[in-house]
Amino acid sequence: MSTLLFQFSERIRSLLAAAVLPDIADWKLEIEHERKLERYYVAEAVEQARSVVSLSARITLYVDRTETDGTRVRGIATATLYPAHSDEELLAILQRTTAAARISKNPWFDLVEPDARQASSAYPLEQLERAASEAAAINVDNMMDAAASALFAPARSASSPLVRINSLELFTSSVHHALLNSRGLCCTSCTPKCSTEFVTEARHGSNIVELFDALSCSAIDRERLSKATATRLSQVLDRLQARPLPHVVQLPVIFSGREAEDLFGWFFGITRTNLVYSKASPYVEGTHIQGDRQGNILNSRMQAGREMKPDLLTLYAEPVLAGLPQSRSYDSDGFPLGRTLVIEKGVVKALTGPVRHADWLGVPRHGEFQLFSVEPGSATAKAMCSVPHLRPVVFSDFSVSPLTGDFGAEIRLAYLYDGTDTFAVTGGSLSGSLPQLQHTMRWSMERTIKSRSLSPELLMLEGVSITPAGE
Amino acid sequence: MEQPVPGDYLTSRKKLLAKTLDLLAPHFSFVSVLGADDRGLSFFANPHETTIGEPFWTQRGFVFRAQKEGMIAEYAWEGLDLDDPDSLAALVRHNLEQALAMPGMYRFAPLPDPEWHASWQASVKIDPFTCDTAEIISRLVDLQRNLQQHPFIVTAYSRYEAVHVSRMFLSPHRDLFQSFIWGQAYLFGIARRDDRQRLSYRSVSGLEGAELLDSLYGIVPELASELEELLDAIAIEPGEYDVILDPDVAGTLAHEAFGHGVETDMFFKGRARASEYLGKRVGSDLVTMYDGAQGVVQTGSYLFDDEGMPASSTMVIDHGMLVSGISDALSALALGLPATGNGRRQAVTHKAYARMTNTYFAPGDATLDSMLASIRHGWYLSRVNSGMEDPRNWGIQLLCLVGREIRDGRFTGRIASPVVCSGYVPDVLSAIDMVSRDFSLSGSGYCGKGYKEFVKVSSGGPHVKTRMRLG
Repeated sequence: MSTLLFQFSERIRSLLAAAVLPDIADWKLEIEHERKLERYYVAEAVEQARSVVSLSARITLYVDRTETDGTRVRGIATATLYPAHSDEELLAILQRTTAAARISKNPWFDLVEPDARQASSAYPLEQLERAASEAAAINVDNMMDAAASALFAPARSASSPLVRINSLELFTSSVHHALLNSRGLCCTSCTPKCSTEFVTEARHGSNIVELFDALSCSAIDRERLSKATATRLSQVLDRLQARPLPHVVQLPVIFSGREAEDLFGWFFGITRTNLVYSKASPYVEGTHIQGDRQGNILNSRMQAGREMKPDLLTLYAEPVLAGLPQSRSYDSDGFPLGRTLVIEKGVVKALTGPVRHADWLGVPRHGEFQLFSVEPGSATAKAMCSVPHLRPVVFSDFSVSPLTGDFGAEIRLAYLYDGTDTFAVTGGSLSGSLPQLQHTMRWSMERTIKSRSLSPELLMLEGVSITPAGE
Repeated sequence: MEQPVPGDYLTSRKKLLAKTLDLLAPHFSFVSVLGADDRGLSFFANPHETTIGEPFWTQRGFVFRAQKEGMIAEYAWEGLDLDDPDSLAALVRHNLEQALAMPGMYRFAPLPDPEWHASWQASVKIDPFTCDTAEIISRLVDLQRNLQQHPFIVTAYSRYEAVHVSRMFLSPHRDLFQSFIWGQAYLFGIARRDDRQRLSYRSVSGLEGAELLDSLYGIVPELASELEELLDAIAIEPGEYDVILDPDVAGTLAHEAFGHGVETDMFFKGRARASEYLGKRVGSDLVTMYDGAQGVVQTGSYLFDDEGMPASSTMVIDHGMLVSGISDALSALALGLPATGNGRRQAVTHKAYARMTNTYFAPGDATLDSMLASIRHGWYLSRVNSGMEDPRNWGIQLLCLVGREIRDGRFTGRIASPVVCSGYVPDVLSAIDMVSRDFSLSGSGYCGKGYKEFVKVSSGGPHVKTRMRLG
C-alpha cells in the first residue's frame, strides 16, 4: 500500500527538478500515508464502522535574498499537496508557494544535512522502499480485534452491576511517514497506532454519573488498555458515591496521570528554542528554573515545624519511549534525535526545539522532541499519600498555560484524605501558578508511561487554590 | 463584493462520483458521497519571523456512506484519486462491505433521502486567495510591532487565516454544492515584570475575506493597557459571586452548558441529562438560546451539513424552557427527532457527529450600566480561554483570562487572572437575572467533541448577569 507514498514522493521530486522555479534555494518534503480502521461503540453495539485512507504531502520552500545592508535572509512558505492534484495544479501550488516565500523574511538558517550514508543518491529510494514494505506488514484489522477485546474485558468481568462502558471509540492505524530535503536527507518511519476514547458510567436508580478517558499506544498493549478501562470503571463507582468537595484550607494537592504529566510538561515546553527566541520564555541555558532571581535554588523551607525540601527537577527530552506512538528518531526538520538532558537539578542545561531557532539563538542544535522523561523523586507514593491531602483524579478539562504556567480546572472526581479516612469528592475547582508554586514540588519515586512521557506517578504541590463545590 | 471562484476539482469529479453511486446502488439500500476541497492560507508574524502556510482546516477528499440491512458504514479517503468509476466502485464496495460484516452492528431505520438540489456561493469584499499577500504580511507585522513597542510587552505575534470551503454532496435524490470563505485574525501579547508573565489577545472572525484585518486596527492601545493591568492581577478569593459575562464568555457558557448538552448523539448514547428535560424548565425566563448555521452569519454558517441535510436555526431554550436538541442524521433517525442540519465532520476522514454551529443567547432589554449598578460585589469576566461540557452531570467549567472586580456598581480597578468559573448548569442559568440588549458573535475559536473532532463554530450573544463559583 505504501508504494503510493513512494510514487507520490517521486512525482513531487520530479516536478521540483523539472519546474522552472529559480528562486528556490532549498526545499523540504514531508509525506504521510495512513490506513485507519474506526469502530464506534454504544454500549457493546457498533453504531458505525469506518475505514479511512489518507495520503498527503507538505512542501516547504525556502527562498534566499540579500538585504541592502548585506544581511542574508530566508523566506519560508509551506503548502499541502495531494496525489489528487494534477501536475498542472501541483506546479501552480509550487509557484504560489515560491511567491509566498519571497515575501516571508527571517534570519538565514541552514537545513539539516544528511549523514555520509544518506548522501548517496541511491539511499532515498532504498529507504522509502524498505519503509513501504514495513508499513504494508502492519495488520490494522488484527490490532482492532485485540484492542476491543482488551478494552471491554474489565467491564465484562466487573464485580459491580452498577457500572458499564457507556460508549467507546477505537481507532487502529498504520502511519508511514517520510521526510526528504533538497540536501539529500531522507528519514522514514512506520508506526502502528491504537487510540481510544471511552466513557464509563455508573447508575443507581436515577443517579447516573460518568467519567471519560483517552489513550494512545504504538502497539496493542493489552495490559495497559485493560487497566485504563478498569481504573475508570472503579473510579466512576466512587463518583456515584462522592460528596461535594468541602471547604478545605492549605491542603497539599497530589496530581497524578495526565495532569501530573502536563505540569511536568510545562517545564519541557518553556525550554523550547522557539519560545526562548521569541522571548515568550525567559528560561535560557543556565537559568535556575526552581530558584530565585539571584540564582539560588529554593531548596528548603519550614512548614508546620518541619523542614520541607522540594525535589529538584531533572528532565530529559526523549526520542523514543516504549509504547508511545510519537516515538521517532528524527524531528520535523529531519534532525536526528538523541536523548538530551534539558534540566538538571532545577538548572536549564539545553534548549530543544526547531533547529532554526537554535541557530538564531546561537545555541547547539538538539532538535524538536515530542516526548520527555523526569527522574524519580525522593519519596515513595505511599509516603506522599500518608499526610492529609486532596488527590484529584479526573477534571473537566485540566489546562496549564504554556506561556504563564497558570493552571486550573473543575474537579469531577478527587479523593480527600483527612489523616484518618479517604473520601471520594466531586465538584469545586483548583487553580494556581507553577512559577509561584514550583518551589513546593515533590514527586514520587515510582514512574509510569503516560501520554507523552515517562514521569513520576504522583506530583505534590502546596498552596494550590481550592474552591469548594456548591451545596 | 466579489464571489471567489471555487476550484473545479469537485465539479470535475461529479460525473465520476454519480456513476460510482449508480454502480454501488444495487448493493446497498442507501449510498451517498460528500466531497470536500477546502484550501487555506495562514500568515504568521512574530519578532524577526514571518511564515506563510496553510491552516489546520485544509482537505481534499471524499467520504462514501452506505446503509445495508439497517447497518451504517463509511469509507473515506483524502488525497487519492481514481478516474475509472468501475475501479472506484469496486474499491468503495469492498471497504464498505468489509466494515458492514462486523458482528454486533447497530441497525437503524432507513436513512431518509429527501429530494433537494441546491447551490450556494458566498461573496467577500477582498478575496484573500487572489489579493496581494505582501500587503497581508505587512499589516500583520505592523500590528505585532505596534503592540511590542510597549516596554512591558516582551513579545507579540499576529496571525491571519482564511479557508475557502467547497463541498459537494450527492445521493440518489440530493445534488448539493456550497462554496464560502471564512477568516479569522488574532493579535497576542505577552507582558512580563520580574517573575510574572501574563498574556492576552484580541481576535476577529467572520464569513469575510481579507477585509477582516481592518477590524484589528485600533485595538493595540486597548490590548496593551489590559496587558499592563494584568501584571498586577491578583488570584481571586475562592467563592460564589455575582458575575457579568461579556458576550464571548456568555456565548461559551451557552455553548458548553446547553450546546453540547443537547447534541442528540449524546441523547442516543444516554449521556445527556437534557433528554429528560425536554419541555421542562432549565433556566430563568430571561434565557432564550439558539444554535444554527442559518439565522446569523458567522464562521459556523453553511447551507447544508456534512450529511447533506439542510442547515436551520434551532431554538434550544425558550424563556427558560428546554424545547429542542440539535441533531445529526443518525441520532435523529434513531430517536425519531427532526434532523436539524448539525451533522458535522472535522474533515471527510472523520465521522459526522451532532455538532454546534453558531450558538448564542438571545438579547434582553438591560444595559451594561444597569447590570453593573445592580452588583454590590462581583466580577466582570472576559477573554475566555477555554470551556468544557459535562452533559451527563451538568457541571460547567470556563477559564477566563480577565476578571474585573465590581463593588457598589463600579469597577474598583482590581483585576484577577486567570479565573476558573464553575457551577451546576441549571443553577447558573436559573440565576440569570439580567440580559443586555447588545449582541455580538465571535467565531475565532473552535469546538471539540471531548478532546478531538474540531469544527469551526461561533458563539456569543449579549452580556449576561448570573452567579457562579470562581477560583
